[in-house]
Amino acid sequence: MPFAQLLVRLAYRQQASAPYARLKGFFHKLLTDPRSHRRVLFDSFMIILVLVSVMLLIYEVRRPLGPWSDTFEIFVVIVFVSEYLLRMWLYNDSHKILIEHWEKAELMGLPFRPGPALWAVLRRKLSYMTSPMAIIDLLAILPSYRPLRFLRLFLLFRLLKLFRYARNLNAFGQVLVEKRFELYTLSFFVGSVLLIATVAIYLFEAEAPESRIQTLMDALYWAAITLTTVGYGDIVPVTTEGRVVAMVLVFAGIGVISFATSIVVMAFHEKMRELRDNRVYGEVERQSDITIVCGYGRIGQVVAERLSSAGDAFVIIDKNADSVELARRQGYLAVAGDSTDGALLANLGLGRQATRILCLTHDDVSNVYITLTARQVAPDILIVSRANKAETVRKLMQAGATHVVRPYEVVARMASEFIGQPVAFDALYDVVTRAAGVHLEPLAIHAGDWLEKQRIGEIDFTAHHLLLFGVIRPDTSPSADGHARYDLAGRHFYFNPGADLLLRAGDILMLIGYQASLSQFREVASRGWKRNRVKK
Amino acid sequence: MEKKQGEKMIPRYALFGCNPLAIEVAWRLSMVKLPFVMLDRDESLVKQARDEGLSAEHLDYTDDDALRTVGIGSHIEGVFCLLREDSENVFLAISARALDAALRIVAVCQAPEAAAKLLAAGSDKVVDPYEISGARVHELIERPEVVELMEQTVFGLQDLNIAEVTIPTGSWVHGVHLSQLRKHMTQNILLLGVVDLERGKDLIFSTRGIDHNLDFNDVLVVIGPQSEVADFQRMIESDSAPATKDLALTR
Repeated sequence: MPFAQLLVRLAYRQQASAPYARLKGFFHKLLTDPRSHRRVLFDSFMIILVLVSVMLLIYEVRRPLGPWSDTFEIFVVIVFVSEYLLRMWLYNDSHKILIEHWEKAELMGLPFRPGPALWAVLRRKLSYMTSPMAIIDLLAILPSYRPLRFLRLFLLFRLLKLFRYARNLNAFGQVLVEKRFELYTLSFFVGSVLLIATVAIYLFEAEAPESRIQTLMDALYWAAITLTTVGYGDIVPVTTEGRVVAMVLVFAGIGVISFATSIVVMAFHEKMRELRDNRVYGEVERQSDITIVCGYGRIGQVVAERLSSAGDAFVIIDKNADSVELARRQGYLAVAGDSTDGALLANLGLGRQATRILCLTHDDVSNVYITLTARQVAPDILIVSRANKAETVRKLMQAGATHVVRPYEVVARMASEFIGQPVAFDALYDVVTRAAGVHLEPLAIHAGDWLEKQRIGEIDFTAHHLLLFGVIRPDTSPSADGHARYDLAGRHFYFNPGADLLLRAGDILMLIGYQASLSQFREVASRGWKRNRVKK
Repeated sequence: MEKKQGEKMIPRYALFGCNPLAIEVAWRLSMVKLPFVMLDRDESLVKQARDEGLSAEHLDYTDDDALRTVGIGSHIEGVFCLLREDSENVFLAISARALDAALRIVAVCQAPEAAAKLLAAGSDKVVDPYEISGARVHELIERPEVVELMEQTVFGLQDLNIAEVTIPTGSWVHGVHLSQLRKHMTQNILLLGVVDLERGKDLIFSTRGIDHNLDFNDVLVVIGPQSEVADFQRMIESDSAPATKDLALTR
């Protein structure tokens, strides 16, 4: 059928079309993308529009406004209608449905029938139109038709539209949806109590001549006002039996109100936590390079503080809600949860932005598990893990940890080194940890640097206020003789090399000096050839 | 540390506490061949340490006489306060310091607030296990090459160590400037700097602009292999400067 072919061709053309995709992308960013900044602007504009239009319509109930208000109303309606149509368009890609049907037909060897395909497209759009927000949107367009007074009710639907734009209000709506089982139970319970109370008070009061309760509607109204402990006082029981009913209802009411309040509070509490977590996820997404810190115990706290001073982005996970609260109070991004949960780690950037992960929980088993998970998902990530027992070190390395830190070992090493020569140890420790102004820094030599092919003796380190601790060289290079050599993993370290050591590309100079001297030397080194060959 | 051919080496260091942390420290000391004895009030812990092959004794640290018997005030040069509670370590530090003003005392603290108290009690160094573990984790992230280098060489078991060489009275070095000393250095060591205890505990870095005038009791901080350091020490301790070598040899 030529029509069918035309349809399919159109669908494919639409799919391939870049301008179409760009246009749709633009509107998606404007209307529906949760992370887009443009959307925030659009939402704000819509909120203001809704509020202003509602205010004008309310004002007009008693005082007529000039023709400009009609123009404004038309403008608002046009905006709402366009938005409705755009959202319907953005809801899904219809051409995808057509293509899917076509390809299925091709696969099965059946003839392609456009009828069912078009019906599928229509059904999808209908499912959008029957969603609650879409219905609200549709009804919100109506109030403009003034002659029908009852339509003023639909003004409320405009206010309900606000739920879509304000994310926190949206959360409120979600709470209602999520807790609907509890809310049904509550409604049923309240309904039954009301029914009994209504009937009871009507039976006792309706015949009494002075009573204000004449109809069932009066009785129901009174029961509702009393049950919720509002008690306007416009209707009061006059008979003794009626008063008894009132007393019982009041006490029942207290119970009902407490029940309802507790449900709502609990629901909101959970929702708030979820919202806060979502905000953390959003913040994490925005970073290009983040460190995940699993565990906010004493060690986690120390690391977080240092990362924060260094200006590195990081996010903390801890099982304990109090620890998370502590972290948040410091201004750190933190999420309460189980660090071994792969989904949580993925949400926090594992496999994408997370370049490092620190397993600092108290439990060796968890640390091993997190290490393994992280290494599997992100083969290049840097993993530093804590180990409590000595045997765990090997397991962690096997699981893929880059470095392992064992607190007792660190203490033992420090204590035993210090006790031998306290002054020297403190001096060197300060250098290593950059506690004093003197730092130990590596400077790599690349091919083409002026340092390449220099001899040690030709570089005046003293004039630069630097000490050359030594040179690290990969052990694949031929070794140099006549210098004190030490073995590192896969590399050699030439300590305090003699003047005749020839530097090569790939060497790393380990220099000791003040930050300023090091920076200056680094700059000089990168400047290039022949500029600074200073003979002693 | 251990019975070597039937004779017991005299311990120079006393470790108070036979808990897992203390055992870790003990193994480390035995690796670097420093003779020590482990002490605890609790007999069962002492026995556990002995079962592991470590030299351990039962001792009540609250008893000053017992402390004197074990050697504090005489042959013990350093004390490790590794007891479980901060209050116990504080008490021990005060007791030990009172018995020997020159003793080196290293204490471990549980709560960060205890660090100041331990220092006030007389400790030379307080180690907060979490603080330094956290610092180490951060170092491994920021400067892994530096950490690895230090681990494997200076703080490892290869023959490259830090050393302090105190300038004794009568040395030719007294009155000499730091830069002049460097010219006399022929040993394969690195002179990191000097600590002038009169000026405080900070290291005066050797290639800083200031050329420090060396005094008696200044402490030179050097890095190098054992033999070279010993040679340097001999040179410092002699009362006359070595024959001036060719300047071209030095750097």
